[in-house]
Amino acid sequence: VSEAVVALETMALPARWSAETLRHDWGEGRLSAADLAAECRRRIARGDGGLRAFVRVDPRLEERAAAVDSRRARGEPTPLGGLPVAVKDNLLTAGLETSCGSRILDGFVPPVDATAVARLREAGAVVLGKTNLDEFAMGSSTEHSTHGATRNPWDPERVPGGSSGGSAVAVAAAMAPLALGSDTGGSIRQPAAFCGVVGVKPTWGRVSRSGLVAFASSLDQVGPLAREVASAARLLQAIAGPDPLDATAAARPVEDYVAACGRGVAGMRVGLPREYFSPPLDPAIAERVRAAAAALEREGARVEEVSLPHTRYAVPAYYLVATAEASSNLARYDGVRYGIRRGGGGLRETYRRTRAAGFGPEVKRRLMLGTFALSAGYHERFYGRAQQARALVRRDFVESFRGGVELLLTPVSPVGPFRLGEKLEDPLAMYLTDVYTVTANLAGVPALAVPLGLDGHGLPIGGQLIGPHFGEATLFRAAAVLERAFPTPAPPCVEAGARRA
Amino acid sequence: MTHIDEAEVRRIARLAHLDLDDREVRTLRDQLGAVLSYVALLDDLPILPEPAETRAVPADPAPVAHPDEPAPCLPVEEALRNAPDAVAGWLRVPRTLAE
Repeated sequence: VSEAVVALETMALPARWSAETLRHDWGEGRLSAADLAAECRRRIARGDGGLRAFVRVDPRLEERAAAVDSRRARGEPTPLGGLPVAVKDNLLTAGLETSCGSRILDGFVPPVDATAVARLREAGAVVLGKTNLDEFAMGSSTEHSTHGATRNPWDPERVPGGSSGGSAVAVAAAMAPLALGSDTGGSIRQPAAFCGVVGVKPTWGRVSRSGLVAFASSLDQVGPLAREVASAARLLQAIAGPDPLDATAAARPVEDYVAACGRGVAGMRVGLPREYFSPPLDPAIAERVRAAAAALEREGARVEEVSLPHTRYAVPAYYLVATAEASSNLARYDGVRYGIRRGGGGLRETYRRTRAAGFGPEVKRRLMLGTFALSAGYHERFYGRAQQARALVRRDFVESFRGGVELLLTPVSPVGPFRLGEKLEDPLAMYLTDVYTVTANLAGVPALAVPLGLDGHGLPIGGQLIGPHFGEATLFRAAAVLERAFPTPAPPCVEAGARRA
Repeated sequence: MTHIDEAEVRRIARLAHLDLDDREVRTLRDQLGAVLSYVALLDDLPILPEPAETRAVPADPAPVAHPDEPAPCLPVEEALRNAPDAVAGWLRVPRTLAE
């Protein structure tokens, strides 16, 4: 019997754990947050060497967890009951280094928490550590990080998706019960699908972006990753809502997403957009998503085909809008206020040398593309047209929902988890894997990835639900139904632990 | 195929404040050329009669506003803690006037 199994038995915590059960047990006093935090640290020490989901664990983890136990003892409300949460390393954590997977921010220690992180702490969660990502969240594979590539726990020769790959792996491999990610073009949903977990990109404006390191401000959103739909709902509920530090965080009240998970889909009209079911979609994924539609029908939903005719323009529009915004947002990394400096010569030379030394190839590529799209002589043809395409993509969604469909069901990605290195040298091929996810970011609508079981190779398949602006509750209703219809196991490394215990 | 030559790559790199070596220039010429050929798909777009609506969400009926009151801000020593070079409460940068 390995030392690891002894540790699990001592803790009496299952290898394949449930955040909902852990939270419940903590509330009943059967579990302490300090023990749970220590167990997470052990699991990371044991399991993360080969996966590289985490870039650092909070050195004060157990101390902070003990403080949450004290809050329970005082009877304070703690809706996220002592749960450790892994946080993507582009969300600021006061006193805990935040690197964005980039050399340029080497040694940067934020003086403040991001609002989403502060809300986690208020709700009684404990920040477990920071997870790996594609540099500045630019990527679909978590291979573009100064900390090295993260691997998929279902097959370590494959990518976990990205850019929130570290957060998805942390949850899938049961090193963290919950995680936060960010999604600019699919960066929560695609890794969730590749790793077999639930991931939510909320409506733009549902969650404050204060303290989320900006990539493309009109597209970025913070959201949850979890093994269970109800936990994702609970985590979103804790972080959503208006914020004096972000004037774009909407003032609308936050609905009861957890209650929505139990409401079912009887009478719900669900659309299958025909543009999301054509080549290059993997036929096995298409078949599974259609099976998901049938499962919703069995629970009383009405499924119909719809059309989103401007979908083909979404990827080109996205890669121009996102990179244009990035070229502006990343101008702040100049070696003056934070991060590294490579000096010599005057100020402009310092800028150029610092940025050349600090940014990796994918970030440089996107900064170049965005700068080009905004430059004199090209602005109208590229950025202007991309904005126009964005308006048409958005209109497609608005008209679909106005036509009576309450949500859309689609694949998350046209392909399953691909092999490490497979698309690294072909950026366009990598960009095209985002074809079904960038649309929701362009339109600002909420979208959720839910596991739909495994494919013939034993790799997870994800389904995507897309709702109207602020329609998160509808997504959770349908996701909970699909979760029951398609029970998805944990990756082999976790199942093996469960069998031994 | 949208052609982008090495001189153009170097021009964009200057605008983006990036030093690129010759190998990077050649790689970016090819990769940006491929991406720009693909995004030329947008040339087929119908021209909209009205200006594009590009907001991510509809204007909220209750606009987000808060009272315009002074609030504490980050203390100078905190703000400078991450600076690569700071002296006596200021950021120190290389000389600019000689340029």
